[in-house]
Amino acid sequence: MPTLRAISRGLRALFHRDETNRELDDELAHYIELSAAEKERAGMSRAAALHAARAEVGSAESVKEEVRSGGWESRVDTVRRDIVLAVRSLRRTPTFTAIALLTLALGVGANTTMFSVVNAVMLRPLPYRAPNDLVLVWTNDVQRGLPREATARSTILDWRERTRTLSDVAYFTTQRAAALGNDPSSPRERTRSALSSGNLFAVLGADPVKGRVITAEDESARANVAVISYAFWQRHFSGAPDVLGKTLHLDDDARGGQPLTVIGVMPRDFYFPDKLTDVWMPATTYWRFDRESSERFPSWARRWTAVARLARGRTVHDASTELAGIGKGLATQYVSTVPDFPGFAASVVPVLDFVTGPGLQSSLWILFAAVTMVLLIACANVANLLIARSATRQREFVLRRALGADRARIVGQLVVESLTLAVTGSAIGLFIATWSTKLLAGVIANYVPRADEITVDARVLVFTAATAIAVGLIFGILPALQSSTADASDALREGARATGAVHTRRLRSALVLAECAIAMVLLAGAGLLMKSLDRLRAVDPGFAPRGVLTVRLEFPAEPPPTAAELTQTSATAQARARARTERAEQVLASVASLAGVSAAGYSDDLFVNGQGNESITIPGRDESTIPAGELNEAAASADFFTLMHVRLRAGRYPTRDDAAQKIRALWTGVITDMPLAEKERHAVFEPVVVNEAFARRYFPNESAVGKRFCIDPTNKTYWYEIVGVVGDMHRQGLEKAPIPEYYGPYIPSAPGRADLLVRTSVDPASLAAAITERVNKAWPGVTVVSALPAEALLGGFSAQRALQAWLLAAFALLAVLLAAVGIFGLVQYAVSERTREIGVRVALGASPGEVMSLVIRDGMKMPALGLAVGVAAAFIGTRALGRFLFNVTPTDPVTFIAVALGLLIVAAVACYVPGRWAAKTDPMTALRK
Amino acid sequence: MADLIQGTLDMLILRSLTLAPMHGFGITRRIEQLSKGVFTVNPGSLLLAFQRLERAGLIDGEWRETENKRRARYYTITARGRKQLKEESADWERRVAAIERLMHA
Repeated sequence: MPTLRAISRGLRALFHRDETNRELDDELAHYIELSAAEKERAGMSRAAALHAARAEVGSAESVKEEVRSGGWESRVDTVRRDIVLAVRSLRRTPTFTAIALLTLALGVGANTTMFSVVNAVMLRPLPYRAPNDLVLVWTNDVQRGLPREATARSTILDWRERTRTLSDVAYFTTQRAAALGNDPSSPRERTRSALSSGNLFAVLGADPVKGRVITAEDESARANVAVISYAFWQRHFSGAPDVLGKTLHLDDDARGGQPLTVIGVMPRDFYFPDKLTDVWMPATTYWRFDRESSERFPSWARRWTAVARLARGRTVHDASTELAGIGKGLATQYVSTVPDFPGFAASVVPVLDFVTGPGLQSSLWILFAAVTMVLLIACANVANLLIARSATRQREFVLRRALGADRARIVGQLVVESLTLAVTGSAIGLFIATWSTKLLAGVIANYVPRADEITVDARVLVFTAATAIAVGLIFGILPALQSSTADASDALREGARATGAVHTRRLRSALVLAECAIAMVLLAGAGLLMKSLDRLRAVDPGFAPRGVLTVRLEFPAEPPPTAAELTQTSATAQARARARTERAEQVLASVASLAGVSAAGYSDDLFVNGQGNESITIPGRDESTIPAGELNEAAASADFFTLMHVRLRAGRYPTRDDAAQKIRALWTGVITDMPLAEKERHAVFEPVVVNEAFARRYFPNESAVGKRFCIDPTNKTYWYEIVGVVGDMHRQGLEKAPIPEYYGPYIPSAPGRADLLVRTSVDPASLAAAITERVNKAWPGVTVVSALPAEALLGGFSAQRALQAWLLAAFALLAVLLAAVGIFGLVQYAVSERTREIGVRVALGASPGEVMSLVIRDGMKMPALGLAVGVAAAFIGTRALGRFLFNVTPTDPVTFIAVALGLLIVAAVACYVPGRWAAKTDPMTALRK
Repeated sequence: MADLIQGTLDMLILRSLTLAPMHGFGITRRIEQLSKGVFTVNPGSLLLAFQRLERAGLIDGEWRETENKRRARYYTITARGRKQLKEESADWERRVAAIERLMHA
């Protein structure tokens, strides 16, 4: 094979250069020898013959050069020599090289870090087959503005039957579960389990590493089987190889405690629908499956989320359109019997959007764009440095051209030099990135989904390599083309620098202008985000989170009622509820007696992550006049509002007696078939406190206190009476406006969970251990899940926003710093160009102040122009931030003016330093130059 | 003396090697002799041509001892080289004939 031979010879020539050289030498020597010998035979003297032979061959070196340059390896060889040359020349100017490398390393390091996040969160495929074709389908509650509501199984089956845009539809629901060890005294292991349709794993396209997945047969046979996650296998079964067929006891509400048989283990990287879910079992094993599947309107039947695969060639938009049509058909076919039924509208969401949550993807792209802009500024700076450097090397290039190097050769060498710089800088940047990526991944772990997947993987490496080369070309080509244009006769003449210099200065000025413009855009964005953070901090949460410890408790299940108790279900349940309430009170008393604790109380989840999907009926009002919208039911113990410093607006706070009243209300028998007014007369009311948002919505022009409302007016109607109105609490974070809520008295359920709130006079976190101990002693069997300061939990809601703001601010500062370096370099260069002129001015009586103002006025031209361009660009660009701004407009004039001023000041300082040097110019030395 | 006609050096080298393996100087002399001194070969071009032909697989080079115990690089024509020579010779004949006709027309 001639090609192979050419390559192998070429490689040999490259790597055994000396040997190839020697062989050529030998061959030439032999040639000369023979030639000389012949001439000798013809009568020449030995010396003359040798001389003639050599003359005939010509310069041995040039022959060798010619032979060498004939093969492909010669180009590689040239590059190699260029690299050696580049390294040598870069080492001659260590300051330049260090600054350039540092600039590049920072730019590339930041870029690589950001890319590794983008890569892990958005680019790396989810652990399903063709994950981009997977969608989740929810009920879209248009009236309440809740797009992701669960759906009844019957409706999902209708979707499955009628759709053409979805190739298959599966469904699931998840719930809390505790895995029980074989040893009953061992602690309960908290996890989540998923009830899954038989085709769930087929739709996901996920295969187990061990055993098999749940099938349609398991579903129809109601098989008590479980597929477990890899992590759960390792944790709960210690990775036992014979895990298949083992029994798993789950303490969950959903399945009445039937033991499960393990039939499969999923791969390590598999998760669905989230990373907390460890166990999947057939949906039909849910004890109310048949009852609930027969209905489609009541909230208790709407339990499931659909997951579907788009049919070939169909888009999310196609599916949305189709499901909207199907929904209209269902709405005419099935008329709702339930007032709070959300309708048949559906929202179709790509599974990646579900996993990453709203906003995160665009937030990451914005940050990535920002960091790329920083890199561009870094490139501009290095290009600037290179131009300055090549100006001093002009004579070197001219000389080389005079000696026969063609323009391409010189450009080539300069580009190799830039690439050497870029690759070295990027390598350092990559090294920085391996650290900063870990650091960032750790910081964002709790706020960014898939953050645990952030690594510097092959894709990141390829990205960095591509960046390095792109960067090298970007900052290398301009200066290279510029310096190689040098006209030999022009440049060799002493002092004839003017023409080239004008050109050079224009290019450098343009670069500085661009840098300032980019820095301005970044600063404006960062300023707006920071202002949003500030506005957010100014929001009154409606309670005092500082000094409150939020202790999440989980209560154990109670033993099933005895035969005797079963005859008295209601009485037993009431007695048990009273006993639990009593116990909970004892826990409060025990915790409150701790030193440093001033008050303690309960609520259900203090911070609400879910959606408020309750709906109420107010007697005497027409259903249609009752305003719709999010509404949340909550629970609070007697001391909760005082302890949280929630203001009382009307009526009274809840009392301990309210709890007893609620227990009576809960277990009072209901008569279903009588008019609502009649029901109200017979009712036992649960006393509730409502928030102001509630009072405003339902009783806008009257006092809410004393008013009554109920749920499920047509069937098992349950009644509430308002005893007080309290201030609104931001229980869903400061960004979301508080929604209407009503708080019933807190009664622990079994199993169930609650937040124990403890107001402390010391650092709340410091009491966590002591409180846990008191809880465990006062009520053995209760699990303390977590104990976190309420302030930190509230801050968690805006953590992504804060992270985004701070990252963008960091990038903007880096950009400003780099731009300042660029301005400084340009002004300094200008000053050095004008040393003579300044000398003359000083000699003619210009004061240092005048010289300085001359330099600064001149130096500020480009930054000012750049600023103007930047402001214009930012006016358009900050619109991308729209959804991330809080109470700030994208063109907030105060922010724009503030950051513009800031940038101007930085620019002025960057000009001031060389200005001072200029002002100190000694006319004698300057003129002598 | 004159330089070789453009593009004929490779063919002439191959032609010289059909008789026996030869070293560089031998080929130079052979071309000069057979052309009765009309053509001269530049040693640089010759070595370059060797490299080109070798990489194309038309000739093989190997170090051997000469009659007077010197190390010399001898070149042999390969089968592929012979085939190439045949094609080039035919082509050459055609061209020469054409030029002949043109010149005597």
